[in-house]
Amino acid sequence: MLRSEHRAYLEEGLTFLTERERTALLLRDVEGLGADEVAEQMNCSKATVRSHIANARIKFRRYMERSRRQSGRKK
Amino acid sequence: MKHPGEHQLALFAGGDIAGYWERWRISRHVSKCGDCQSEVRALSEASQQLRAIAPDLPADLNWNRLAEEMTGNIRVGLAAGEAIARFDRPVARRPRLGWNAALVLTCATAVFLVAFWMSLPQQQAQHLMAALQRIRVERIGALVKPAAAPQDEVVLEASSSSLDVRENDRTMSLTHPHSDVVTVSVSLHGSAGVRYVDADTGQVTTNKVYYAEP
Repeated sequence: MLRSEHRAYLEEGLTFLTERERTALLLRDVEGLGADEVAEQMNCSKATVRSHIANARIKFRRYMERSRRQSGRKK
Repeated sequence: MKHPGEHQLALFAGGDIAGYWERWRISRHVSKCGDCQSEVRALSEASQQLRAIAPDLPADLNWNRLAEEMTGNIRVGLAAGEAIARFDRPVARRPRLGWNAALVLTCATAVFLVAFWMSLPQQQAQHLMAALQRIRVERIGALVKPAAAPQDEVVLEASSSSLDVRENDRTMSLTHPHSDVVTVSVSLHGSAGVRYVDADTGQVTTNKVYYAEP
């Protein structure tokens, strides 16, 4: 898979998240902010941020798993 | 062994478990459980891949527009898949040949049976019918009810107490005293009789009733 294709594939996975889940995930995993900093940025509690991050990671992981299974079936 | 929940594993994969003891408990479980290990690994890999494309992500990426485009693409993909599936689907073959063969076979059998029946001499046909009837009775295990006597037929009946002649609803009875020694006889040629011995006198009495065709 080309780099641009891979990027498009990951971007597509992010579209399955809600806006707040996506923001929390990008701030935490991509920008590397701590949970308390993310909470401050998003103006919500740390518990809420953790919930958003957990949901986002699970959804994103499922998306990747589903895509892998579909591409395996095509082969 | 109780597995940690999905959310706990997702937080653990990114080092986001809040309490020390909770983190220690999950870490201890994951180190021993293969399933949870692979789950944590998959979650970490997903995050790593996301981190890897971070420099390529445009700062002003409009996620909502992208989501709409993706949804549109998915719909187009589903519609295309459905269209292709219509061509790929094997056409259900109607079992026309099988039904036609069965119909022809049935008709041929029926024609053969009719021709066979018509070519049989009458006597043999009756004999065959009687044999079939007997087989039917034996197989069913039930007696075929004897045909009810036509109303105008005369019935002769002999018993140890009387001789009866019945025609329609009328009955003529010839009774005799009860005796221990009674001989009852019924002839197929239209007669019924009874012979008995008087217990006191030893006298033998024979009664016979004949029916003659008018």
